[in-house]
Amino acid sequence: MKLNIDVAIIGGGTAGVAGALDLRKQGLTVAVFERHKIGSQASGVNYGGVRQQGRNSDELPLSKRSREIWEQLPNLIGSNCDFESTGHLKLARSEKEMEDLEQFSKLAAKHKLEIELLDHRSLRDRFPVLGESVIGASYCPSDGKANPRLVAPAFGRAAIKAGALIFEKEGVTNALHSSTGFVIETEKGRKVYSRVLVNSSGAWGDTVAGWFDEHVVLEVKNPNMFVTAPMPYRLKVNIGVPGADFYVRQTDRGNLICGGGFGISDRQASLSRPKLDVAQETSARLIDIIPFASESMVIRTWTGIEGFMPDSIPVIGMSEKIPELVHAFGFSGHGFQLGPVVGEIISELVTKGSCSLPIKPFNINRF
Amino acid sequence: MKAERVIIVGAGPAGLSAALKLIRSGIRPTLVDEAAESGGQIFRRQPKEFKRSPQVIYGFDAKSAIEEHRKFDEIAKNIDTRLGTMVCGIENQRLYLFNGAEVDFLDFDRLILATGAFDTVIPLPGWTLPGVFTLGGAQVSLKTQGCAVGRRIVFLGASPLLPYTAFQYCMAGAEVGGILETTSLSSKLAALPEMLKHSKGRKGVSMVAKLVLKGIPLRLGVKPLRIEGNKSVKSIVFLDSRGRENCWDCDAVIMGYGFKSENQLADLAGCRLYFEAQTNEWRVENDGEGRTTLPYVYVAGDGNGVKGWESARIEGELAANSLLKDLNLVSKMSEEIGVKNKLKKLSFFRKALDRAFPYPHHLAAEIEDSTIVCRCELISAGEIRQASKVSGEFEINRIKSFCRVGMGRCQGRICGSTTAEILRLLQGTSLEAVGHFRAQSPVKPIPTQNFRIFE
Amino acid sequence: MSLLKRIADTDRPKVTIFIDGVEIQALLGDTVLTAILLHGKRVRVSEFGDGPRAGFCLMGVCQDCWVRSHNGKIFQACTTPVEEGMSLVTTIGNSSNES
Repeated sequence: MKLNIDVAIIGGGTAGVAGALDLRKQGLTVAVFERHKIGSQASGVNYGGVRQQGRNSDELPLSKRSREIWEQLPNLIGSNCDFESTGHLKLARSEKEMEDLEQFSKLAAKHKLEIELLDHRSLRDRFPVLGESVIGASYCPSDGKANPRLVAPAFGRAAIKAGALIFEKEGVTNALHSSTGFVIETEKGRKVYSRVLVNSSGAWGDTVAGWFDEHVVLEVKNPNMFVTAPMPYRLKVNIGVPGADFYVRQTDRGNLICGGGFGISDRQASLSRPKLDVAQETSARLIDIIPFASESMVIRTWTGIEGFMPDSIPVIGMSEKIPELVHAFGFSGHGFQLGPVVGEIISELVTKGSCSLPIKPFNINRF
Repeated sequence: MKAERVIIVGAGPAGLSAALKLIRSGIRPTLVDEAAESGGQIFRRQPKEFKRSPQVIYGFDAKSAIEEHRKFDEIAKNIDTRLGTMVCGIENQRLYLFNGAEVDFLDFDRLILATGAFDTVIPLPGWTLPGVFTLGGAQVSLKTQGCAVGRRIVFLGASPLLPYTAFQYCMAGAEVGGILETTSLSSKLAALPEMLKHSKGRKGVSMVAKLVLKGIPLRLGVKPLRIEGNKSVKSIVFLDSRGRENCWDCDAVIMGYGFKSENQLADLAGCRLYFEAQTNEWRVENDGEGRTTLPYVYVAGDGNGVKGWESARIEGELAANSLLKDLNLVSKMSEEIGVKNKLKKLSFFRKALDRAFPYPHHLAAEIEDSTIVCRCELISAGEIRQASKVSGEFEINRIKSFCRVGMGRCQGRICGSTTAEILRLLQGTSLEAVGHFRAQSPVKPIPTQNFRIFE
Repeated sequence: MSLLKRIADTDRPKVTIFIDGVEIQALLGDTVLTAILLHGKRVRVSEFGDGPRAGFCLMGVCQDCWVRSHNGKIFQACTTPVEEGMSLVTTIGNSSNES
């Protein structure tokens, strides 16, 4: 089996399929290779928070542009994927955390991101669902939530409709580069010849980069999640804390989706397991922060495989070693909101070799 | 010798049999069961406040029931037995337990899963109304609570326990409105000769005859259409074998289309499951002697393919025997010669039962779009079909992630079979390719206020 | 009217419980589900608006009989024995507030 294509994309998470869709619009031929199913890894099992608040300052310009694309999803991919701009509340449980939030609000102002700081009194007035222990918060009204299980598959379908080729259950085993371009081999024995290669392989991004002698340290972590049975809808806003060791949101069907801590994984086998005791600790925090959760019941736990870079921001940009190799991986547990803009960035890098957004901080050889 | 920590999950015929075997060989397992009393389902013991004799409760199975209860009493004297304790998760060799108040854990060296089975159901319009219960539920209510599930009860489905339970209800003085079986008369007649070869088969046939003699209406080859009622069951409407629409007044419908193994823990532990085409069941891969693909996990009884309590008893002892052998402890099956033959003979009867009470695949697969399939999340057959059509996919966990079927409290136990049949038919694929819902911990819900770690 | 009907083993000590504020005499050994369905026809109201539910499998599998007590605790009615003084609420879903 042989295939000649302009752009080969390794990894069928949101970044990869969003990139495929945009590249098709630029008229290039595209093939995506995904070891499992589109969106079956981190893209599909994450928390579902769509937020700009709390990001590293380098990510803010990208996040802002991505937020615009989230509004356009119905036109872009035929579904809003349950995206709702119900706001994001970052809670401070100590004076130190409140100071952190104040710092971020100054940074946000520079990036024209609207943030409102709330003290204990106004917080409890505006959000009576919260428990007593929160001393203050930072509220970002333009943030929100969406259903992660729907996003990548919807981008995938749109990409296919636009003429992209998507190969599921077909992982890439090896890729080489020479003066004539890339030769990619898949586990089904297919040989793919492409001019450009996109490495959007998530937690396996370092492996693919390593094929081209670009070595980065990527740590695999497994955000531990659990969900409750549906309850009357009382929590509109998406909740997080500085340090991200606790986050909770309520779906409009009423389930509380809650996360904190990490499970365990076997990256080789693409397996990850949540830990019940970690979920137990998180649920104690849940009841403390959202007292009405004491009437809920935990119905299942899960986790996913996430790639974390040492500085907790992704690798995005052209390869430093191989022309026509584009990297976009290692989203360090907060890639969901960035998915749509990364697709645009990939496309721009492929077609122009440069990007209008400031992506220099995400360069692969910054370490 | 270091004391091996062995845990047995399930205090039904398989689990008790395994426990007894281990105790007699010097091992002290811990026995855990989520129910308040031992006995599994068929021999579930009544709460201690109840006084009825076993003969009244278990009918001609009374002797076996008494044996099971005596086994438990003997076991309870010797080892730690934890009833009312649900195994909610397993991580490597650690079992998480919920006792109703808090979650605790127990580490183990070896684990025997004897987790039994639960009812297979097929949804129809009105099945979520108060007054619709399962066959297993009807049994539990009568045997362990002394209650009939209604004042005029109709039994619906395809299961040997259907006439059996109707008979028990009759004997107990409840009013049985009738029995509706989806199996055709011709299928019954074809299976009859084999059934009559076995004493249990003959007992079953005589039960049906007695019911008919009592004037209980029995209809074969029916197609159930809907259950009617405003806030609770008022009647059931069906097509008889001639295609005529009938309506029977009733205040309870008992539904049963066979049983399905509870194998979530084996799945969660990492044991390999396979699809047994002959019985359309997902089973835990085992070596015929209870060993799974994990060296420290064993399976026995209805939790690994529904075969009935007699097979379960033998398999329990067999699994314990394998465990002892694996520990290099000398062991012998109580009836070494003939164990495999006994199991085989029992399987012949099981096959006869399956032919006499076949699961009506088409009824599940052709459910109308508007009928609710997932009662935890209120997902209709139409939504399942839509999710499959739009995505082009049929693997059951992917469909679950798209339309939420099986995402509710029961983790797809109730809706799983029907969902698989719908997908199989829609996409022209096989049940094996559709797959089964992946188990996730906690395997059953735990109130958050009990789940959290207490300081 | 009620869903269930006692037909045996009625000679057991009485247990007083409350269902929707009404004092009920259950019998020791009854499960919460039995006690509720001997009194009425509903254990809870479905959170999805399709009306009353009264459990289904009676043996801890279907998870359809979770009921709420007056003081905010929840439990599976078919596997929980009645206790003196229990106060149960069947008029709402699984928690204390209407949407």
